[in-house]
Amino acid sequence: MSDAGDRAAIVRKALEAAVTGDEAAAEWVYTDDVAGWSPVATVASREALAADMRGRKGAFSDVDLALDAVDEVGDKVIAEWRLAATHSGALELDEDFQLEATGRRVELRGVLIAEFEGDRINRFRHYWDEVALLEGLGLLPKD
Amino acid sequence: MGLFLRPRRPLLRVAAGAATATVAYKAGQAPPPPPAYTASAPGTDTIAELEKLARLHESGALSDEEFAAAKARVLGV
Repeated sequence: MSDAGDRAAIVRKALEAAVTGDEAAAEWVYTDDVAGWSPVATVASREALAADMRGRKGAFSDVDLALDAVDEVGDKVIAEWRLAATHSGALELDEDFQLEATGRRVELRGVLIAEFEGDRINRFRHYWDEVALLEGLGLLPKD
Repeated sequence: MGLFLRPRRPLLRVAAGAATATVAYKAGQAPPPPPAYTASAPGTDTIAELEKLARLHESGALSDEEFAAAKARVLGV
């Protein structure tokens, strides 16, 4: 059983891996049968999640992640995060729309709610600012 | 594909339209038609994707779990 510090570190690793596409991290961050939800999609296994992460490999670099608040309630960890990363590689935004590197610095905020089974994440819900992503990538007008 | 760092498709479409409309507005011109968004009709895409997944599942290329996850993704559930 992990203590709160360990779990916060695992949540941080999960977030970093989600940005960088570090699918190898999924092995020790998530359980085999992890189920996850975001406004965009769902996953029902670690294998599916790793495949999802693989699609973002190389898209972002210089990742600066801050956990503003981390609360643990039983097996649940609620982490409010801020992220800054440079869009430095191709990013698949849709099945037929890949955005080549813009070099733009993207800043996002979000909340990850992770439920642990032992020292791995077994369930999660991930809320994040989709409009900020569009703005950060230059896909929305400034005014 | 795209659990994180990817906006929902409707938002992406709105963004594409908004960006183009703003350029036209600033140029003092009539707004041009929305930018070419190359996605095929969602229904056609979805059916084709489901059929493809079913074939992969039947052939054994996809496990039951992989098939279920991929199907959920296609259906957006």
